[in-house]
Amino acid sequence: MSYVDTAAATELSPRARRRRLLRKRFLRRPLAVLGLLVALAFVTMAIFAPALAPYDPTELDVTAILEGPTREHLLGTDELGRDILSRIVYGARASILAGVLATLLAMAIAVPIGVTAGYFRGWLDPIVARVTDVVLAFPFLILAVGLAAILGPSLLNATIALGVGAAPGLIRVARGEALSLREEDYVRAAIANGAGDTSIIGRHVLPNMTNTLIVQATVTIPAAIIGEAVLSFLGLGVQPPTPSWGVMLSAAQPYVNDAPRLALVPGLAIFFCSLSFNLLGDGLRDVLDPRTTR
Amino acid sequence: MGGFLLRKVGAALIVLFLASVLVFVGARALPGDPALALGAEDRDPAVMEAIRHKYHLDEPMPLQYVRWLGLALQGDLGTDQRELSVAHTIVTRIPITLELSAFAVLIGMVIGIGSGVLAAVRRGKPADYASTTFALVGLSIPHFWLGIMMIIVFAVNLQWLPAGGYVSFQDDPVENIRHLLMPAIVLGTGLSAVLMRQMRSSMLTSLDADYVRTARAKGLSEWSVIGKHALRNSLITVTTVIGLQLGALISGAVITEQIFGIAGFGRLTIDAINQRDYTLLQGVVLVTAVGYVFVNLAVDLIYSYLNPRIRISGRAA
Repeated sequence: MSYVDTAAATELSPRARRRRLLRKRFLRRPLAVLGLLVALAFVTMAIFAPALAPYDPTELDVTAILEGPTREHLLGTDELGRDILSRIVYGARASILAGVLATLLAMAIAVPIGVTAGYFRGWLDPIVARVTDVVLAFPFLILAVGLAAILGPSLLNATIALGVGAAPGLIRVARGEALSLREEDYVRAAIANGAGDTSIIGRHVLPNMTNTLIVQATVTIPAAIIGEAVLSFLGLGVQPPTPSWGVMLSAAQPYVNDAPRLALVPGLAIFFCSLSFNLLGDGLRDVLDPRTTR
Repeated sequence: MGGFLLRKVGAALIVLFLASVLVFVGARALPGDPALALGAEDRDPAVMEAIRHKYHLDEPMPLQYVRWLGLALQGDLGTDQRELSVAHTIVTRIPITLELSAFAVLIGMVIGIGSGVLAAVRRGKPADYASTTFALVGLSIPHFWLGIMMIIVFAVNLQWLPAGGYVSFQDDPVENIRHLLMPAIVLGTGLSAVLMRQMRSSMLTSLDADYVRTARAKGLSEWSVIGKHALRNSLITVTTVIGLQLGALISGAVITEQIFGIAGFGRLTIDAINQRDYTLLQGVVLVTAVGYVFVNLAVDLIYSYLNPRIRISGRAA
């Protein structure tokens, strides 16, 4: 019995050994670990909002309008007497949902297109390259604002707009990766051995670009979180009274003189949320993508 | 160089053509009937019909597109809902946004390049950590919120700067700068953060390069090694970064102008969407795309001039 244990401990598979090495390298970066923990905290807050929020985020209280922080309302109340803390907790839902779903959507669009174009090249590649150029000629926000205006204002449509807006940049990344991976010796060896395209893409190309994609995802999430806030702020995302950090900021504007707290709190929430994902992304980049180690 | 130039210009023209189609179709995909918007209170079918006919809305789409593009190429972008020339409105708004953007790019470059070089030269020292932290904060902060916060601090509480609006340079140079300072800082923060990171990493690469070691070995002063050799090479990448950041800059201008109540090109975009003004929106987005494509073409050409290797191998991966 003990023999088996020792063998398992010393003769880890190469993959497990690599995973352990990466974990060790990640844990040696305190900022990345902090980013991971804070990001997880925001995700937890979004999932368990009903259990964590002290009040109903849409409950009005005319007797407590624009109140400062009190024991009952830790972050005070807004212009309609709603509890700000509860609205921040619920607002995390819109931000995390938009951030994660928009990133997944962008990946789902970008990876197949980028990999196909980069791997097969031929007539498809220049077309994909030109089309991405076209879409990139429209600034991300203009594109998202336009799409949100076409689709109508809602969180889902804002998320779709953000995902579509983020896709062209990711297509370029995926295409570039596929282009360079295709020239690797092991891919040429696989081709020489008679492996089919599907199996080469599935077994060699995709697994080898996972690291880059993970890093790209962690930098796309904070961009989408800020994007959701901007769209909601402009009235093209989450609609009031549903709480979202962008909606709260927009509603706070008339009160910057009397109650700057109304603008301060949701902004800090957006900032810390996107900061945590950025820290995590930087850490993952250092660990997973040593070529770009700064 | 000739072939390269031709290839780049050709690609830019194709992009522009496709972009114009996208703009045209996109504007028509917006909800709401422009005839209804133009007719205002009047819902009489005959009036609707007359409006549709007047604006050629009853023609097939491809014909509408060709008509629109033909006029656009002559500088005629049509008239908006208030019967004002779209091209004229855009031309009056653009200088404001250009001034704001130029100011922002200046701030972004000074802070970004300065702190990036400092961080690379003082690698691992407090100055490095301070610069890197600044860049991280600059990337994570929602700029429109930074704008609101600056208004609260510098306009409402300290009353140092105006909270919004715009005064042209010809009218009052001092007020012009006072009005643009906060918006330009807000708009420049993101750029400075991106530039700082780029500068730091390319300076670190440059400082490790052989020619820098040679320069040091020749006994050149540290100042001249950093300034003349390492910095000059790192600056090449800055051109690309600024070209790539242009989209972010235009997006940023939209929201910054909204926050600071500046009636520029960015504000015009939001107004056009909110008022469902198709003609105006088409014009605004088309001009944005054209500007973006041209600036990036210029960046490509400058870059290939600065870095001849690109001309042969195409754009670096």
